[in-house]
Amino acid sequence: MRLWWTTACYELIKYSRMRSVLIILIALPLVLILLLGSAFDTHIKPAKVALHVADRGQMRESIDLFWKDEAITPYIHVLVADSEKEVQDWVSEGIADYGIYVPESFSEKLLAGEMAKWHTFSGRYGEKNMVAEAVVDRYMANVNLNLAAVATFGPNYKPVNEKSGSAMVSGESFLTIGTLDAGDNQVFGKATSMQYYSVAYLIMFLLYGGMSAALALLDQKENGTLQRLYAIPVSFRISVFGIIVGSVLLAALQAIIIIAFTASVYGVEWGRHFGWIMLICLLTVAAGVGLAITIASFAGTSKTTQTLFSILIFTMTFLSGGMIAGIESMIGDVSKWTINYWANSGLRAIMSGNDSLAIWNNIGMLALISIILTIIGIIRLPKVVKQHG
Amino acid sequence: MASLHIALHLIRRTMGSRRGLIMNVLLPTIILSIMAGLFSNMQDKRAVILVSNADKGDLGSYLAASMTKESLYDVRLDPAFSEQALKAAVLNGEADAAVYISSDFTSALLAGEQSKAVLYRKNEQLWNASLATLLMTEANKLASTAELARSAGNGGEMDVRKLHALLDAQAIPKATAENVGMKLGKIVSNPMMIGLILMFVMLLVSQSIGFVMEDREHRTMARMFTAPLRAIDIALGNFIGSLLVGTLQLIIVLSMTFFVFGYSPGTSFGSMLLVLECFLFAAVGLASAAAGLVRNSAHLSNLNNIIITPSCLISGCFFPLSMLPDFIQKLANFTPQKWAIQAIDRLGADGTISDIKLQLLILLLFAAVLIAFGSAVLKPNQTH
Repeated sequence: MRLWWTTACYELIKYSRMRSVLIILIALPLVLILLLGSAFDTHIKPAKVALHVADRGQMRESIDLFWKDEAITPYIHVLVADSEKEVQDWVSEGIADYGIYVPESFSEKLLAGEMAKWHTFSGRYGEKNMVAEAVVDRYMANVNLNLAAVATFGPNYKPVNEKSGSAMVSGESFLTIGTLDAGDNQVFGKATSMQYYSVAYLIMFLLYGGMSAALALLDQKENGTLQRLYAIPVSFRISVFGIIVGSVLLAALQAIIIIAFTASVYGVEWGRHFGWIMLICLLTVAAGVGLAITIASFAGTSKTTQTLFSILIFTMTFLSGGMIAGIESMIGDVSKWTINYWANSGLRAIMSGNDSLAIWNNIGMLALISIILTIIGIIRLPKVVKQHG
Repeated sequence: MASLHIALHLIRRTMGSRRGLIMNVLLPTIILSIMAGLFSNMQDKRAVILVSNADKGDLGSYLAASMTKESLYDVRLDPAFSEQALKAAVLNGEADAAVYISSDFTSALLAGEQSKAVLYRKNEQLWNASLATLLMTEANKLASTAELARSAGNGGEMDVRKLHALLDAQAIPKATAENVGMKLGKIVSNPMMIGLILMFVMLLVSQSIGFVMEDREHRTMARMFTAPLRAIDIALGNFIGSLLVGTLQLIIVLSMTFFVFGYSPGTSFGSMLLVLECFLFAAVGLASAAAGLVRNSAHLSNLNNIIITPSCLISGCFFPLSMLPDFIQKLANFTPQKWAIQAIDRLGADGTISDIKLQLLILLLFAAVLIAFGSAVLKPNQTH
């Protein structure tokens, strides 16, 4: 008992001296979570509209008022440009998502009863073009209604909206909007993007952590230090077991730091069942260690093990939606053949915190996978640690 | 001449083995072709909008027609749906949004009463916010038109002739927005393929610099001095070697994706290669500067993991830069990938080489500064 504990602690001290490994295992997931979580944030990001109004005529006031309207500010962020050329440049540079130029003659032509036009410039993103177009349309509808009223009733018709002198009713809407399920998102399910990627990268890097056990064993074997353990009067098995436990402890530390950091700094809600979260993390690490040892037993060298295992983890993370959210809908049930899928769904079920049946289903599947991989790992372990195994 | 031998040997070491060939040439090509296949299926997904117009009058059809103008909506008119059925269709994902126009829509508007059309959506997003704006505009326009026609009639009586005159006058609008066509590239908004190529270039270059690093560690590089070589020959050989390795990979991977899998970013093969070659210079600079920071080649591969993946993410290699917070977008200016993507994007918008002079210059500047930092690594006589 004391022996493997000593070995495990000694392993941990060794890891603590490998600074670049620690950075990869702990800092890299935190950076990735921050970047992806904020990029795929589901909050509405307003379209940036470059606007230049050259018109100094009668319509100017209504145009200025229109762009300051509170109803459009959640969707439109106006950037005032100095010329039509600048509007165009901003759109092509990507500084603005959409451009609008109101020509000098707009008021003049409108009052003369001629066709009057704004020039609009569509940007790169269909969704943002759409919202800008809808807003422009709103202004045009208002103008055209007033013109139609003048054309039909003559210039002295009675405006509907007496305050602004406009024919358009204001203040009330003739459309009801039913938002059916505010919390549910098409891509991330019930989770926020931050939660989604926290889970995906925690699991991915825990699996990576599992690799460090196999690498430690292989490195010690390649350097010949592992074989020297036969010289001391203790069980060789227990020393090897200690080395493996050392890397499991490292992974546990990794999990604690990532969860604590995301919870306190990024404000990720992990739910209330920390015991269950720890269980999922441990099962994931166990599966990772088993898989890494199995691969190491076939690969032989630490370099090949590292390459093969990295490719495998990367593929599993990709297939379970860790890189492109919502990929499950494109590839079907393939994602269910990954370790990540069950660990991720388990953690997300804990986060949403209402369905303990779903949680135990996922944990059960994960446990099954871990047990199988651990057993295979134990069977293949002699191949990894024995000099001529 | 001596440099050339060193360079060729570096190529053999990175791509000569079976493992090197699979990892550096085959794998990138396979991944890129899978990506190209995946993303070609994903495009053209339009939002499905179910519309049920139960209105007995004719104003409801104006509202329904207003949606069909937008090409990004897939509007499906089906009067058989009840309001409940529409709601259910949105909830179970059959439709992305649904609009229900009740049977008394026209009559209520004409009488000046409140009757509202209903828009159902799952949650608020930018595209359905614009749908809501569009519908709201149309509904308010119809209501105002009805109101005008009623106030013109005597004693609140509806003047149907006036109503139609008003609607007809608006059917040919005097004030419109005219879209001026702009030639914009498609790479910045859809960068996955180019981004992956850039990432593979960086990975490979960091690997070949790793070999140089290994030489120094094992002192084999110092032994080259026994041959009649100058330090500059060795440094140049290593530099040219890294460049050639990258160029070779670029040409093979690019021509496979271009000519075999038929991927086309809207630029010619040659100008694309030019941009990527400039990027390659910057990547060699980055890798050698990174090598200057660490002690051995194992640390270098770790450091490269930390540099390459996050810098690809923040420079918009995998998703549009505009999705990131503003301060990260500014940070992206310090990554060479951003400038390479921007250059290719401009080429895709019918730009010529002279349009991307600035971008290429920035890439070469990156290369110059970083190589100055990393030049120590390429030379044999300095050790830590």
